[in-house]
Amino acid sequence: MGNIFSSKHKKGREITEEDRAVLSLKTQRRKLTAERTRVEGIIDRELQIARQLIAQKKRDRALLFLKRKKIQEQQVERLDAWLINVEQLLANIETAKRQNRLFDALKQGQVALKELQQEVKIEDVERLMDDTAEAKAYQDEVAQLMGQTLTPEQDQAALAELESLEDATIQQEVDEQLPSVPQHTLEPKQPATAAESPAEGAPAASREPSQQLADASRAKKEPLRAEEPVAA
Amino acid sequence: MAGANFSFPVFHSYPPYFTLQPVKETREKQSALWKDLILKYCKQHKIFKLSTDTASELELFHNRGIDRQLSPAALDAFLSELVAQGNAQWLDSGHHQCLILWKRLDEWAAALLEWARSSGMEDSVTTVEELLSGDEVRGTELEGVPRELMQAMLRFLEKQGRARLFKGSTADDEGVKFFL
Repeated sequence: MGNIFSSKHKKGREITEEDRAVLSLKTQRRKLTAERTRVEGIIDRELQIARQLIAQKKRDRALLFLKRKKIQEQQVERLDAWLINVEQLLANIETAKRQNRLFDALKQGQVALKELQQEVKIEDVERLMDDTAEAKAYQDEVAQLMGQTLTPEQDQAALAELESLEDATIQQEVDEQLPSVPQHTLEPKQPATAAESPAEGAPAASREPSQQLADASRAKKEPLRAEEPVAA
Repeated sequence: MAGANFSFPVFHSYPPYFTLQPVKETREKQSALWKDLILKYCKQHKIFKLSTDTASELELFHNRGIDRQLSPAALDAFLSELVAQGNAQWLDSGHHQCLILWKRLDEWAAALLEWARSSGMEDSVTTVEELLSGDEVRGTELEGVPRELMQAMLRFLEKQGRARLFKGSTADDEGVKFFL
């Protein structure tokens, strides 16, 4: 087991040529930076000497040091350009490495995807879907049949419930409509009784509301029965 | 400095503690106290290396208040004990320079690995120089670590298979690659 483990690990843990190239570039970067610091120190020193010489009125000597300073400044510019180059190259290597790794990962993913897809054949999926559809149709049919087959007793009970519901509804409608009926039909036809009815109506108003209701429903039922033969 | 107001323990003001005690039990006690003090002092002052030649310049080994210096023999004995318990390493055979490990080497190595992990150094190459002076470790506990300690940490990680040191061309710095 140890053998497999170590060989597997060593593979990714080799120092590659590209690693060495990066190391060389980084070393160069450090050395260039150090060199730049050194040259900048020289520039500072030469500028200082030039100042002292000017103070001592040694113009020619001061000019000489300023010229030397110019040369060093060119050197700094050159170093900066090199440093930029090195940085650029390092960044490019880093990017390329990352791209390679990304590409490898994508390739692996693609292979994995293909393998997974190969495990399932299209015909199998079609058959599966057909089977599923059949099963569903069967299920629907069974459900429909089940819905139709009520026992006679259940049918009877349902009908009975329907009738009782209808009765209740009619009764309710009737109860709501009746009270107004007798007053309208009676008054114009028989003026003699009409004279009596206001007399009866006055005490009626003073009666209890519940009794008033009972009266009204009784009054309604009678004309209804009277009408029934007419309707038939 | 952060350690400017380091408070020394009481024993640091007792003259007998500055010379090696002859009685075994007293000496063991003395040694334990000193070892603890050395580690605490170095940790607070971020001292990574002690030089036995210049040790007396440190307030740690020279209490001017009672005019006592730790004797060289005692210092050597205490440091050797620290080395034996893994809290120090002699940097030369003559016992002049000593690396003080107020964090044990494996703890330091773990810290370095953690830094490499958190700064995305996986699979990329860095150099020992960058680790020592670069901006990358600035502000972390690895800042200011001497070359000897850095090398020791890297060798430790190399043994564990978590890092590799390598050379490029002859003039190159030493390269480091971390494996996380």
